[in-house]
Amino acid sequence: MRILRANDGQCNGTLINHVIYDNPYPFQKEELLITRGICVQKNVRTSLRLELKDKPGQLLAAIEPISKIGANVITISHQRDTKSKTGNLIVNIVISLPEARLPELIDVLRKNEVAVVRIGTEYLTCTKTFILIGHILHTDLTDTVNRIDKKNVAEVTELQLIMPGIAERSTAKLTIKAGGEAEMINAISLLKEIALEKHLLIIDEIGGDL
Amino acid sequence: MKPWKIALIGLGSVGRGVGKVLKGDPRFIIVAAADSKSGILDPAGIDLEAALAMKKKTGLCGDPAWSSFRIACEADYDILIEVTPTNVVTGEPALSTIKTALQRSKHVVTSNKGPVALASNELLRIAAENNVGFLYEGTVAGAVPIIRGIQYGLAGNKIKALYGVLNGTCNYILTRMKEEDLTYEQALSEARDLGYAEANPTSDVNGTDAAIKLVIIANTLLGMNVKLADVKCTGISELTVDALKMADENGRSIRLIATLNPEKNILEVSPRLLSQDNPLVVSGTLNAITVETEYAGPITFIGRGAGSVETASAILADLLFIEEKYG
Repeated sequence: MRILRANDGQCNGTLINHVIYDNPYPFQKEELLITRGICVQKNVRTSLRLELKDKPGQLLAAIEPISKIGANVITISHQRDTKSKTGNLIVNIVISLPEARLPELIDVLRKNEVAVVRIGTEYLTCTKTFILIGHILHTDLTDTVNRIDKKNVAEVTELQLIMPGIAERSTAKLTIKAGGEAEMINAISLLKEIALEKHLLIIDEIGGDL
Repeated sequence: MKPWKIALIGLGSVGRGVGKVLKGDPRFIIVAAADSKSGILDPAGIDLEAALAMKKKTGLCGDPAWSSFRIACEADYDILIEVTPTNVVTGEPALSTIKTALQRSKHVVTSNKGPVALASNELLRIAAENNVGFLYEGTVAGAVPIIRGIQYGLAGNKIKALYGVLNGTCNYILTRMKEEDLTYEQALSEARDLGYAEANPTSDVNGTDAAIKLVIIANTLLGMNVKLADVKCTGISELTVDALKMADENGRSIRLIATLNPEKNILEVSPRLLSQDNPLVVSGTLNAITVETEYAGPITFIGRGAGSVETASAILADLLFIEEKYG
């Protein structure tokens, strides 16, 4: 579980010869952008599920390395009441950092006795729910979903449809997940365009800046 | 100190509320009053109850020779209270009545949305030129002090965004649809029976009424220059019971929300999903407005958005503001 580099060290802006992935780290090669021999690392959003011993200073032992390594914390979810089967406290963190630095972070966390029990790459971190009213199925539902779905950018992840009668308008709850606020704004704009074209009433959610 | 002489234009629900609120108040005396067809003058003070009884019996409160406009032009008064029904197309006849009073250097207090939405900049300019007050707290959210709350209470704060439940009729319909599984038509019919909806509720349910209030807020409090046509409006008549149920199952509610975001150029009235713990999720005919401010963060105002005495409460506050500033 290491990333091997010919000239190890900082990758950002440094000339490198090659990059060898020794998976199973859950990120993708496309995330590493190589331009004219200069390696520019793109930050990747990664979710970590950590288990901490229920004793003072453990949360700091988890947070401090994340901060020191230069990662941006996107969300932290920590509930004292929720414990693992072994009685440890569970902390879910979503961070953003250059992918090559993840192994280093994991090593430090483990040295600090913080168990990293799950690692997952989070491409779609922005979620919004909508309600649509109208002739949703008969205006080609597949087309509606397909036009919003773009791999790793925005996807319809949930659809619940109620059709009270053949000629009656149906109601749907639609959840879209997107890679970030900009991607979500684009997806909403597309959804509104589709709604206008197919005479659907769209009810969107108040929340955040969107 | 001599009481302020009031000319009361409009003897409908709000006019009667004003009569109730001012009754016995030594600071104010109603010396002129008018309905849509006639007027009455008495420098010693009008017996409003007798005038209303006469109107009920004959259809006129006084002399047909004294129209509201003639009272505005010729009567001897200090403050004109204009509470006639709203005309959002031309603002008339209220717009001419208000202009005339201001040009005669008379203070004006109104709950009539039409003239304020159509010509607030011009009316405020005429008032300033004549060193009199033009106040309109009752035009938006009835008894809720949103105009002065933003203008004075939040003075110095940049308004980043505003979200409002500004129409009690729609809020009542949505509340009942969710509570009792009523269809939109059933809830509207119930609102009519209880007097919460007009015989023709179009301007309430299609979002126009809320949009007019949004225009007043935008132009008079945020220095914008927008018209009713600039507000993107979607009403509630297409909503299904299933939509409210789905929202509820997911911890959300649907409310008709007026949204104003000057930086993003958003001016919109539409049904929106809100988390059920959002303070804008109010019940029945209540109004609620959340103002997102630069320093104070989000502030929410909640209260009765319509009604005879409730709107008169806003008018009384305007009268006392004039008394304090110009007395």
